[in-house]
Amino acid sequence: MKKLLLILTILANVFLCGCLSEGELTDIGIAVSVGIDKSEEGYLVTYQVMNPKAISAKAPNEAPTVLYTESGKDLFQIKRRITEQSPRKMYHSHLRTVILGEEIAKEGIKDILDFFVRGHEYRTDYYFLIAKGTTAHNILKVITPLESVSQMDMFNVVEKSDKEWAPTKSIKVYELANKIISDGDNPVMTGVKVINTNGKSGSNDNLKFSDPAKLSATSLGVFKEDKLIGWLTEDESRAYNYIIGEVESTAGYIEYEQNRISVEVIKAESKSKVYIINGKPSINVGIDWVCDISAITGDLDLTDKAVIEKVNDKTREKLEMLFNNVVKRAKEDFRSDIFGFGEDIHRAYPKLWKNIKYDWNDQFTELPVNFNVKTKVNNLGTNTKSILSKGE
Amino acid sequence: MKLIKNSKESRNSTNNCISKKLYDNIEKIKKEFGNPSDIVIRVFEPDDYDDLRYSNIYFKNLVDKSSINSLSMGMADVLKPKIALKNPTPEAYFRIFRNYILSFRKSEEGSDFNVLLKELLLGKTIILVDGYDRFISIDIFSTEGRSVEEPTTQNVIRGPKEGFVEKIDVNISLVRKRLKTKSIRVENLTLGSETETKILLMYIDKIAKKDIVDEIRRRLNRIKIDAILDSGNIEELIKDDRYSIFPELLNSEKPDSVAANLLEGRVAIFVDGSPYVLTAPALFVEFLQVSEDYYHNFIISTFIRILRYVAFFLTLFVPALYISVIKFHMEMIPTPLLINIASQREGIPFPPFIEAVLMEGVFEILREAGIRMPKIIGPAISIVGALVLGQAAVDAGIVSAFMVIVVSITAIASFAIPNYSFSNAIRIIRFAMMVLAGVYGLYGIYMGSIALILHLCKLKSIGVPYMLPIAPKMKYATKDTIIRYPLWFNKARPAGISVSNIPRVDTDNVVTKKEKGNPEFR
Repeated sequence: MKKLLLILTILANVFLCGCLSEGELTDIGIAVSVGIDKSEEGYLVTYQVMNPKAISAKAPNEAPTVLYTESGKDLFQIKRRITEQSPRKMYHSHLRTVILGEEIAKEGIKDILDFFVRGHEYRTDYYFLIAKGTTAHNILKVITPLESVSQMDMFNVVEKSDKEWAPTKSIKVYELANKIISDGDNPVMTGVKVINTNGKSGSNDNLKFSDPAKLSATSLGVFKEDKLIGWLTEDESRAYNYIIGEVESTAGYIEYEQNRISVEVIKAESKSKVYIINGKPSINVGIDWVCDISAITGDLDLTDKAVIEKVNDKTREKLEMLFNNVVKRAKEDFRSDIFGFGEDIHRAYPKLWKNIKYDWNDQFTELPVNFNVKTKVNNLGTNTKSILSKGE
Repeated sequence: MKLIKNSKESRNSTNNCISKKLYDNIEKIKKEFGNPSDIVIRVFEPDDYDDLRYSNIYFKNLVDKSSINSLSMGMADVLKPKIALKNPTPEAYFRIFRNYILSFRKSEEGSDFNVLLKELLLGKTIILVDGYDRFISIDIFSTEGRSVEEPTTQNVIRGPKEGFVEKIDVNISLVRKRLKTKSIRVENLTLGSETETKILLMYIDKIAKKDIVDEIRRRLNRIKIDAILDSGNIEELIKDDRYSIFPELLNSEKPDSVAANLLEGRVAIFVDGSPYVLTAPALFVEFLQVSEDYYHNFIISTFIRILRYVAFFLTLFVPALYISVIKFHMEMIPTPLLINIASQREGIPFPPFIEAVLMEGVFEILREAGIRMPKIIGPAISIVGALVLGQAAVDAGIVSAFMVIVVSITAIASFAIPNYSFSNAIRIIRFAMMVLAGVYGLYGIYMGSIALILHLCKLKSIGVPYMLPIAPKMKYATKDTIIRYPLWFNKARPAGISVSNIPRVDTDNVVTKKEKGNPEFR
């Protein structure tokens, strides 16, 4: 009898539990990206949903992604309202990117962020991007070559260029939230734009061109707290990434006399230190910069130590100029501490920080920032002399 | 009344003894067996002896024909030069025969009629002499049967390739050939009221634990059953946990692994008519070991053992993991893989659980069919099977290609488990895991795994914990579980099973180090 009861209990468990959070793969729409634009009501939300049938080549003529657009006041309500159009429930765990329309980014993204941080369905590994000069809807519409799900494509672009190319910077939800709430730091976000626009970028026909419309990451958008206030240029973006020490590897060139030396940066470490001078903080950023030579023009003799020294000097000059430019721009044009110098002061002198944190962005414009750049040429490549040097 | 009763009793008692009259006995034997066609009763009346009449009785299919002929001839030869006896009684002739037979065959004598019948059934030849109420039974078994071949289920690449056969004498000899120690002990038992199956218990005196041997002997002696046809019957009856799905005695077809088990202090149970010899106690880890592990380089053996453990977990969990991940935990799959799976599952009408049960079920049917079907139609079924489980099913849109991979991985992994009984147990548990995964997802798999581990830790094999070197941790035995340590590391025998005070290996290194004067030949 006892055994029978036990078996019944176990069986009841099986039948009564109800399959919580169960969802068949064929019943869900895998949302790859969410685009948020401004509309009259509030938000215009666009979901880019993967079309597995098209990807499996069962229906090669169908578009690989489908957009569901709905406008409303509340993000969660919109998410549910989409079921009016979509036969499948939106599934957000595999979100790759969130695209913010430039307009809404300028108005402020504070209220949007909580939706993504709080929801249990969201993983934290997707990137935030701004649709530069356009709406998120237009970005999501594009069917991209090679990677047919456009936001998978964008995700890879951001991830790759973040590693290999200094001017872009990826930002995920927690970093974004942290920077927005922090007093001494402001976020930047990579922009995304459509290049090569043709009339068919939203159709599979786009893929028939040899030079189809594509999505491209651009330089960085600067935020003050949660509002987008402007864009850095490519050089400024590069300098920004050097200063915050986020460059893993990138490419650049140095003008030396009449020659151009292309270099691959293999190491760029940055360390900022806070000094107090006359009761006021100042920042000293030390940057350790190592490069390999990847190409030169002209017949420069790189085996000569003096030449290398001069190259180093030139590089240092150029980098310092870049760094000073971007800091100047942040101070004067944006009045926003995107470098997190405030956080550095917070960490080094917490008591001092308490007094200055309330109007930090104004104080930042007065902050002396000094750069201490060390450069080094590590490797000349597979040939020491130029091929034009004629073997003298 | 009393008188009648007495007479009945006396008749019964006389019934038990054989009569002095030869023809009475013959009639009685015929009557007992229902006059079968395969019994041979030859009555000899030698010319030179008026007073001598004797007979050979045997079942013609149970004895060796040439031996029986030479026996008859030999007995006739004994009488050829006429023996002049002072007192030519039947008993005297009986003694002559008995002495003659003793010189070349194992034989016994008796007077109980029931014993006579039993001996006949055992395949012995009975000699009766008219006028004397005793019989001689001679061992002339038929040698017919399989010769020693390679084992069918436990194949090895390196190592002895002999396998046990159905004849217990041959099996014993195969093991004895490998263990030339005087401390080997063999005990004899007969089980099964109808089958009278011969059971032999073998162990090594100095090494096996006395308690374990006594316990096995006690359990075997308590068996009361009509038939023992294979060692599987014995296993089922003497198992500690009768309802458990896991095998608690190791069956082996290989004499070398039985010998190795004996050397580790285990007890071997030989059953006449079965090519599978049981060894006990059997531990969980043993079912994932093969004799070959000890013949290869220890690094390779360790690698292969780890592979087997991987296969064990694969065959147990892969379909369950597939179901739970696809059904509940889609966020756990990397996005490109999810896209891939989603595109494959597009248009599949069944939920993943049904799909998995369907495919695993078809595979199990195919597997069973593969064993039972006549060998001639083997290729046909493999073609059909490959279609059912393969491309055709995917093309028809009934199952996804990913599911086919899952089933194949499971199937291949299950064949990597060396012991068939053990792999069967895993097969069944796999289905339980699939149900749990279908209902609870990963949570169910965790619950199932915990239940499985608890069950395994509860099991005992002849009183020895099943998970021995791992669960109650044993110092010495762990050197031969997942990692096969080199032979010179295993100095002692597994402590839980054997009397472990005798060192196994004495020298640390047979080859001395170079500076100590190891010669270098050029």
